[in-house]
Amino acid sequence: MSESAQPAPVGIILAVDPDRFAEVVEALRRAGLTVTGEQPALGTLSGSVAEDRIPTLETIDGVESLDRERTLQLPPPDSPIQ
Amino acid sequence: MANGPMDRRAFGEHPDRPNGTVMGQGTEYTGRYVVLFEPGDQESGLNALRSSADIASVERVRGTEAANVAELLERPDVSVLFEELGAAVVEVRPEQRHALVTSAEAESSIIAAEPERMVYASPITAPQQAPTEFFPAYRSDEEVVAHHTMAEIAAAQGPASDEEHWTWGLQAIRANLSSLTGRDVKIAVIDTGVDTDHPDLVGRIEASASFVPGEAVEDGNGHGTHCIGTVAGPANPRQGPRYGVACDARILVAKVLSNAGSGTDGQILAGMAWAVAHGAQVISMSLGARVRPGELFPQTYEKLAQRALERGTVIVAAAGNDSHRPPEIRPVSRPANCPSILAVSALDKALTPSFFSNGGINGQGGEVNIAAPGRDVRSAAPGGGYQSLSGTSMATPHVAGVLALLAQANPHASAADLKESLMSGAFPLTQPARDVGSGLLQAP
Repeated sequence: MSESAQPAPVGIILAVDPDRFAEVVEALRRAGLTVTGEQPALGTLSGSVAEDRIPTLETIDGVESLDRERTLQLPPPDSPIQ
Repeated sequence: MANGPMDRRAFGEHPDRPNGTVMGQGTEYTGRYVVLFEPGDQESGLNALRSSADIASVERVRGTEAANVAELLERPDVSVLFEELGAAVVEVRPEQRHALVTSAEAESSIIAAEPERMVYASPITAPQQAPTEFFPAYRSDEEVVAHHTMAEIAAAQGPASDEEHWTWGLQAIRANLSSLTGRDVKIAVIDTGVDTDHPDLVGRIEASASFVPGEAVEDGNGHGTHCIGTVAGPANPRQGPRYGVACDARILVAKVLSNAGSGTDGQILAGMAWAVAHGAQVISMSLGARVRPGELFPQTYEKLAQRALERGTVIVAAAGNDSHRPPEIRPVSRPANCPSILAVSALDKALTPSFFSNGGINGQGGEVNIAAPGRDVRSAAPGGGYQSLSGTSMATPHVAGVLALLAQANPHASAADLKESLMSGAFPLTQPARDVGSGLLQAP
């Protein structure tokens, strides 16, 4: 892992105002977000950020929601219950 | 697999009855007639029927003698007169039915004579629970009442054990009785991709995209192919029973889960947005992650779902398989727990909640919206074959397929309209709404 004192980045997903998507995403980048995917038409995006930056991101004008990203895992293919 | 608890004898299999039952216009008749007499002049009416239609000998029943009525009614050689009601259930030979009706019309002491219909009160439907959601508003709508009556019969008959032509799931949701096919409706399945060479699916894939780094859309898992098969498998599969609900729908495939079955929220959002951009009217997501009791839905998914709905896309998702009934019932997974995403629970062949199926423990979107077949579901498998799987993942694509049928039937309906039609068309079950929502999915 990183030797710096910085906390490890965590994955997040966000919904922002779709009418000013680019502007809000730019503000998020400046606040430390590394964007990994964006869906401008529906106003959502995903990215990673140092965990301690999350409260700052949440206060950016135009940010409507911020959730911690989770990884989904299906059961093994040979499991009878899917 | 066992049938429902209903006594099958009530469904026309009366080996001792030469008449059998009569089917017509979707209504099932017993072969008997219900005759209503003018009060105070029952004898004239009965005499007319005796002489003109040679009806079976009449046994008279009064209110206090109800104990053996059931037995009397079962006897093909006996008509039963309910004296206090001025009504009789009349046994008549098939060749005399016309004479009976003609005579009844001519005889002034007979008010009405109608073929007796099969009416079923089954443990599944009675006592009628207070239906949830939109159902009450449709009570005065004949078509909807008729639809529910048909559904009641289907439910009472119990699930089919005969899967020669149709899977039990398609029979339970009455897809086998629907002439709709989902033609021209686009359904997106957001999953592990698809077996693009499966003979049942070749030529059916409208568009596909993989959002899994380093993996093509080809399904190396099987989960996605199975779900796609249930949504939109063909009318005439290469082998075995029909298993696809919307057999002419146009299939959009977004691969967001790897061949190992894992994927991130970010990949899923990307797949959903792709589906909306490609004009999907339905998004089927047989995926989810556990939540804790009391945990709020993910608001980012909810925002996306709201915007998708505005663009005409309905999203359905699996309620999740974390329960171990009895007694443990786990809450509906995310993102199915979003208010704007329909959560689908799983039913066994007995139309009871599957032991693994999650329930509406959490409020604010955490409810189960509708229930669908999710146990021992046969569908397509990678490599060109088939397999049976269980899970709310298998229930969900049944719902997506029915939404496509509704969209085909109502081309100008909004996404909200489609949701409402779906919910109001569900057949209420006696199980708690926590487990089955508005009830058993029904094809229009």
